[in-house]
Amino acid sequence: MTATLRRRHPARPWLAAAAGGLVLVIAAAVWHLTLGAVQVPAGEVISVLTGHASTPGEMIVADIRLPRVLVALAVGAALAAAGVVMQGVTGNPLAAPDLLGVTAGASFAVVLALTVVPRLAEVSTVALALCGAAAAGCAVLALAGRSKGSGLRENRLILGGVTVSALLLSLTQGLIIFHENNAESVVYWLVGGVNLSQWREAWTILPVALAGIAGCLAMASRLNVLALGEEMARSLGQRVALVRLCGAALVILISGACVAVAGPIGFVGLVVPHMARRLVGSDHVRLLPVSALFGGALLVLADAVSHFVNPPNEVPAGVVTALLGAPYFVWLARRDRKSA
Amino acid sequence: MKFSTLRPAAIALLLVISLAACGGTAGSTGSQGAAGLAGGAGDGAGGGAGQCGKTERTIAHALGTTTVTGDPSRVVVTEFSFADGAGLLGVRPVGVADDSDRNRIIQPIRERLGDYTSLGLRKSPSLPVIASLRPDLIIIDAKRNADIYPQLSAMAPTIALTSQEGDLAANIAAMRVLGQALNRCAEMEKAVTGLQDKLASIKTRIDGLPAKPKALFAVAADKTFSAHNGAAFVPSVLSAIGLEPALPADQSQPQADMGLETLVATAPEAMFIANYTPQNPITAWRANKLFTGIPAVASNRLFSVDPDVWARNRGVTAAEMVAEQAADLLLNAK
Repeated sequence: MTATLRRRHPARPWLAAAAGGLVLVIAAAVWHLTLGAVQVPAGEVISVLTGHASTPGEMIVADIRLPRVLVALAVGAALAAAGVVMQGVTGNPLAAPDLLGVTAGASFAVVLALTVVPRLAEVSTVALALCGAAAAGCAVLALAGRSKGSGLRENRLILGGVTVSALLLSLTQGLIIFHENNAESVVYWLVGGVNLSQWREAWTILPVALAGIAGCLAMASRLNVLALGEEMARSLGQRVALVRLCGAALVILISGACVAVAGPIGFVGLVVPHMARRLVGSDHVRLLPVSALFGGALLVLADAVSHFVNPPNEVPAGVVTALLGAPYFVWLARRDRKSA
Repeated sequence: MKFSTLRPAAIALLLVISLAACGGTAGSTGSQGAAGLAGGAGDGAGGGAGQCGKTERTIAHALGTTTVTGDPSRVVVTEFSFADGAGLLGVRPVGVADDSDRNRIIQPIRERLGDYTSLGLRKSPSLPVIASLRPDLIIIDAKRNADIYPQLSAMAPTIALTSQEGDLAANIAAMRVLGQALNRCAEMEKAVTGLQDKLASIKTRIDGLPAKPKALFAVAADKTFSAHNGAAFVPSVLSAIGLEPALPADQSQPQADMGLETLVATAPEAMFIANYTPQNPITAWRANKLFTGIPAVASNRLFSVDPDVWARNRGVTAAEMVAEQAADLLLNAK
């Protein structure tokens, strides 16, 4: 089947999609770097990219805008790759870190620390988010249970994920409202955003995102085998449980780190793999890098667009990804229903 | 196939365009409202003042007109500034929405209040508790509590006044309406005159500064930095004592989230920050040399202030304390 997929999607379109993604990433990043409260001439933006930052405008690009773009790029790319892996290991096209409770778990852990034990948040937001993501992921898997074989029950997995997500999201909101009475913080912890990202966040997320995406790529061929169905994968000698465990670990690592630096940004992990699949087909070797590129570009673009929502004030990029993602997903669902 | 791949892109593009269009309108309204800050204290004194002394008073307020009979004694309020106003007139509210935390009410107001029943959160006060108190007057925030106005009106005469969304002038106008409702107009006028005299005397202290800094007030929470412009309460108090707001008044949006770049571009010469949480954008920005280059930070005029006094309480007592503290901080920082 993998071979058929490759035949249906010969090499050229996938290379074109990858190149297109790369061009989109670069264009989005450069456009983003020129946006902001302070007008910085394009020449100064380019001179920052070549390593100079001396004028006030150049310093703004180097110390405020560049880390923000890098965080958006890393988070978007990593979440999209995590989405592909999540869909691959669960065999469910609706799976995504934010639909399976992992993101909500990470947010809840961070907010719990921020509101109840502020000292804990100083230790490591990333570690907290990872623990929250892992706990929520395990809870969802436990709720889903196992079918007669050892496969996951897909419907129960989604139901469990939605339930755990809803519970954790409302607990998170409750914590913030009762602690702070501050609506703006609720917005951040509901949708996420990179508008407060600085170099510290960039240095936190970049290594994790690179390692995470590399890990996803390393799993690509195994995901292809798993896509043939559990029985077939097993008969081909694959250790299905191990592949799923590795996939889940990667997703938890990526979502935890992303929530720690950018909050629970939604829809990227769900929508981008679907978009990419329509361009390059289901072969994970192609799907993963193209998804990562488009995911990065989408979040950079979303954050750039957020400049125009209410200038010169900040709107979290998560608002924009939800605005773009939700209608796309509705369209996708309607189309699939028609074709079914 | 080609068409179906193009459609999501078209939907996305449409959304982007509509978002950009929304942004354009949101940005172009506003910044028309600095008027009325200085002279505004006199607003609202006219119309209803004649109601005082009557047994049956018709009170015009933000959400309509309400008839209040006699001298209300079982008063319920959903904002700290209303509790302050009632307390100044010698009326102790029986119920106060205090976010379930007595300590959020600043000390002088708390002392005047004595014992009261908590109504829970200011944003969503408990209706059963309000009903159980059998109030004869309910005072709510015109914006935050507008949705429960009909239910409360069925329980007792209810008046909706400005607190959170109003500047100093609007809050003083609200105090005057409160005075009419409680049938104590003269006492309220005395409290307002007292505040105006106090602000004027603090202004003469500020006049002693060699250069009066453009001041920015903001509230910092864990992931938000909400800057208040000239149309908000604290900046209008600061401008009453002669400190020009670093952000001009925008009536459509008195408070808005701000990023470091906008803060750098605003270049305030003094910053008063109310921290809701120990970790907030300010703590993260301190390592950034663009932040340390902001005039207020470079000249040691970045002040951390009490969020209860500066952000959560408004009204006469809070205005006096804000003005006093601002003057002390600036004069001592010299």
